[in-house]
Amino acid sequence: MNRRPDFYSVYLLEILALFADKGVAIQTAATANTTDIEMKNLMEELCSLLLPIDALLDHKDFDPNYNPSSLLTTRFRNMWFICVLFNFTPSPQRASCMTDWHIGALSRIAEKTPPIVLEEAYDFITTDLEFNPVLREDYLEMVCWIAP
Amino acid sequence: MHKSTLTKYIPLKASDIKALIPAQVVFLLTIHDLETMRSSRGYVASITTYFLNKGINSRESLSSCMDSIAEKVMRGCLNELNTRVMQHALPVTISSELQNLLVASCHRIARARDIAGKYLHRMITSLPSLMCDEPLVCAILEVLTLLRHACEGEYTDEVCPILHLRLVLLNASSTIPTITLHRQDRTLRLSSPIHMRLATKFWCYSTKMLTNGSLWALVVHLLKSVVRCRYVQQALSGDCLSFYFQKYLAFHESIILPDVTELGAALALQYACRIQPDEGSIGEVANTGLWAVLNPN
Repeated sequence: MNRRPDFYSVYLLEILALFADKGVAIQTAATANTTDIEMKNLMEELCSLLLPIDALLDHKDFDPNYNPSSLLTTRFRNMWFICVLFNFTPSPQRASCMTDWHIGALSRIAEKTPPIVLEEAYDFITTDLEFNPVLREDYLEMVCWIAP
Repeated sequence: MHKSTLTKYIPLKASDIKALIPAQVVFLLTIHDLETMRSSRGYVASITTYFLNKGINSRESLSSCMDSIAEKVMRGCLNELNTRVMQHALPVTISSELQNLLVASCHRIARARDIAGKYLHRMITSLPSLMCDEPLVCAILEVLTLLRHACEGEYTDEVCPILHLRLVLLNASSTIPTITLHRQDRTLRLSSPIHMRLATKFWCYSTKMLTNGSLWALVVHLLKSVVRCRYVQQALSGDCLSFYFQKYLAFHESIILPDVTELGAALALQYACRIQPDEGSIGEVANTGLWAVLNPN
């Protein structure tokens, strides 16, 4: 990968898309009859995707903050929504799959994340929040309202 | 669960949080967590980017919660910086981030401008030694010059003028940046090694906004804190500060044209004259009226 810097952004977009897809799959599984062990495995798989994202962003000659495309912004935003949804970020009930490695990786990803809100985005609240395909309505209702 | 977490972060906004839909709660938690992580690593300026979108700013309950979150992030960041300054372990990015905040404090969108100005003001008030930084002092003077040119362009240029300003750079080893003022789309793009990453847009200020607006008060406060602050004086001798100003003035002397006033250079001259070179201390700066600087003739 180090020898092909022109593939950095393509690989990043794909891996962020994979992260979002896995996040949606976990939400779907959580609303179905999935066992705790299966859920734990799925969460660990999702957590482990943070490491390649961090490794990719660690390249000195790659800075997604510089002139990011709207697609990259959207994918980064979706990644962060999923991280918050599953408590990967610093919160009182942090997910058990987040080891010190993952926490360090997430901090470095935060550093290289471009602004997740675009000034020119039209109707951001409706399009990118209320009808965002990576946030499942039924799962959100379940986790946002129940007591910790 | 997420709603209760958000309520713990900003308890005063509990009634506003009740009115939010779950996706908005996730969005607010994302702002909080992401910006907390960023600010702990020395990236403080990105908080302003959330206040640029018209759709978000129009939702009262959401934007009120965002204000509180920004406030909480600012407080947390200042506490951490206060601890780190004692250990002489400030993040290396803090200088460029302060400049980004300064640029954001001139943004055409009032909310972003207010948040950036408030953040910058608090950081300088809380940690005055942050002003012991030549790039930041030069950036303040540059921004003033730029705003003055924007004001002049409002009256003198009728159709789509483009001004190219070559300004002195902060990092002497890098290239001199070019700042382009484009009036047709009412934006001003700044491209320099520091600012290019943000692709920042400026509003073309009218003279009224510059003279009466909070921006002027902020800039004057920053400049005064350079010359008055006891901590700055201890860390930065008068000779050194005088050198910053003289370096800035030396560059501008070569490009000053008739009928063009360099507001940054005028202020630098005014402040530099007050520095007593033999004693290495800084004298009191008279509270000169703004119009004396804006209208030297």
